[in-house]
Amino acid sequence: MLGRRFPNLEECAILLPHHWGPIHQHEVQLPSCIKFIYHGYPMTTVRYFHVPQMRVMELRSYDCKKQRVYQQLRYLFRSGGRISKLTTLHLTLRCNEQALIKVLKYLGLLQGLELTISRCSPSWQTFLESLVAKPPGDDRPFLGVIDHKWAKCRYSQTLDSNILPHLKYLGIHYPKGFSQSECLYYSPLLTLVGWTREKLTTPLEHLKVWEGRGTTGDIILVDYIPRAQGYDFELVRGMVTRHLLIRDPVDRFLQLGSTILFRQLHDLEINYNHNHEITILPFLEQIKRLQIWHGIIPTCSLNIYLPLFQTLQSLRLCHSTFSWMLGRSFKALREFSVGDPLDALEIQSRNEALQVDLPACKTLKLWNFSASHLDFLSCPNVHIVQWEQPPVLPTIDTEALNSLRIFLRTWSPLQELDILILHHLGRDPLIQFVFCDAREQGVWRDIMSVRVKVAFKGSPSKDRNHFFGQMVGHQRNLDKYWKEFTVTNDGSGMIVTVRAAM
Amino acid sequence: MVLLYSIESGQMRLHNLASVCRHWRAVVTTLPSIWSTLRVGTWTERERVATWLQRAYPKKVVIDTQRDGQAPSDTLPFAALQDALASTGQWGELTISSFPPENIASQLDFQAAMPMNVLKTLHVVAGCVHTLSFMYLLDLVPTGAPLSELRLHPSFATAHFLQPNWLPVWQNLTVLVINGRNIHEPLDLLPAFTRLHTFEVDHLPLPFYDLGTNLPLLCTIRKLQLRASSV
Repeated sequence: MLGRRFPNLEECAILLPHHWGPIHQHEVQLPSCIKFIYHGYPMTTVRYFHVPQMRVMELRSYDCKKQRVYQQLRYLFRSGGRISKLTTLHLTLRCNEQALIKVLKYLGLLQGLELTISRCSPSWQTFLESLVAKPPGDDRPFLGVIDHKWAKCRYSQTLDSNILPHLKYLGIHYPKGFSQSECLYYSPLLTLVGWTREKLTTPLEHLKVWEGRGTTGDIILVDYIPRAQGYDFELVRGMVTRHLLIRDPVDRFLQLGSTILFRQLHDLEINYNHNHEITILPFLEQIKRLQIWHGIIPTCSLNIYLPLFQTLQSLRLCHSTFSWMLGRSFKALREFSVGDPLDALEIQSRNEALQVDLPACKTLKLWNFSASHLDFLSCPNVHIVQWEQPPVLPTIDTEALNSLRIFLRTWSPLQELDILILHHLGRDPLIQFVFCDAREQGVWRDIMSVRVKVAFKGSPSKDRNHFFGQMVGHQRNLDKYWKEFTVTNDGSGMIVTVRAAM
Repeated sequence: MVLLYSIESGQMRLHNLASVCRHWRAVVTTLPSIWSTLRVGTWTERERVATWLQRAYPKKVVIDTQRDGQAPSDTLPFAALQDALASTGQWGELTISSFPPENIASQLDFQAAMPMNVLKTLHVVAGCVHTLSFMYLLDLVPTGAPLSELRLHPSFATAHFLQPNWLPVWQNLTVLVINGRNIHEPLDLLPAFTRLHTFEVDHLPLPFYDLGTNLPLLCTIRKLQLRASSV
């Protein structure tokens, strides 16, 4: 081929060439060639093929030196505008992707990019981040902590990217396959690339990731831009975010704001040791089960609607803020558990008559939740109520217990009631109400069982014994209301449990 | 229009189309081009060959003995292939995807076969094994055949057609796909090609031609693939 001109050649593939040396002295002219493929070492040989009309290029480099590969790519993509018209590039690299990142800016017209990588180096993350589209005029690196601007961005119709602005197809082939941790680490980023680039003027139409060599049926394909609603198994598998546990406040999942990222997420547990702000709730469109420890959830205007108001079925808030729920209706929430809210004082000082509407709630579990806060909850269909008050924190006062009795009257569909109280705070009126008055007055039409645990921590044993004897003595009076009635001492001798059942 | 679209799209089987009405059946049975390909395997029914002989033009044959279904009780193995061999003189295209092993193929009677005088396209798929019977079949291709397309993925098939006596065929070829793994000396092949537009080569040693050598293929070639070959 050396020194020759092939005037009509449209497609040329040079794979693992022999005797390539002389080519370096005499350039090969391919004036009509549209598609050029080169697999081989050294990559230097490619530059001696003059292909001015090339639109599609496939390049497989066996060179492990990233600096040398970068120089070659830079030469190819810059020199004389030879490849500036390139629309499709298939690239297989042995070295890391840094070489490619630096030359992407020369490929302004590229519409299709297919990469085969041998390993996920640290620069792989940089490469994917560089592809994320941003709001116009925003030059910040994307992976900062999500802020309100980015939250608004999910509704924005116009995003921008200086890198490969015309890209329609991105394929990534990783023959070795992602490890589980790599998968967890990169899937959100890939999803974010897909989501943000869908909003470009030239939207990305396909973002596909292959694993396996594809020769023995081991290939796994994930499409990060699903067009159809009928997701196949592989796609769901690839999203890996159906059940998610986050323990670290700087976890990548929390830094990425995208509804696509959490499209499959049904179950989220955020378990912090210390209080941290949580801003991803607006992006949870399919969430069914949510558990949060030490979360500060921002309160937003009542005009803003969050999808989880419609989807959430189970919510557990532990040592987290509660006021963000006020004035909202959680249509599907069946189980609500809240304890020791961080904003208890703030709730108390609020003047608005806002409630948390829980029309479907069947199970309510409350602890360290002041009885005086109960009027913030509207759960007319509750079946099971648990009220657990740790004996070491005696914060229930008599007035609050009166409030509790009032609310117990409003929960007419109640079936199971479980309460833990301190012995010296309004114990007797409460016991009288739940075991006798409520039954006599027909307050709960479907009641199945009531249990009251009375804590005697720090009290003389005679108090406990007196209470125990008093309850046992009551048994005969209660037979007309309950089929079963038991009074028991726990092993520690600090709690007396009174239980009645139908 | 609906019928032709259904045929072109390949979404419906021909017998389903033919059962729509008498008119459609008449159209389906009298269009030679839609019957042109005979795929013959181990248990292909002999009636298929008879129908194909009657209706097909041009006649294209695909021999594929590895993708058959269950053996029917009333058919002998390779009976259809034996019947088809009687029409080799009419074959315009031949694709050999797989061939019977020699212990079975040796029972085929090649006496009834005629030279493939109208063969234009020959495709031997990778994975075919060199056997005596296979070579009997290749020997039925005469050097005077109007071959324009040769796709020879196994090296033994390549070696057969790169013998010097095939020079007249090389000159007329437009497509050539070859595997030269068993060829160790540079092969002076390129000057012969005057019409070639697709040339795919695997492991072929080629000689050095100086710039003064006339190589007509430089102007005719449109698609070139050189794998593990000299450039």
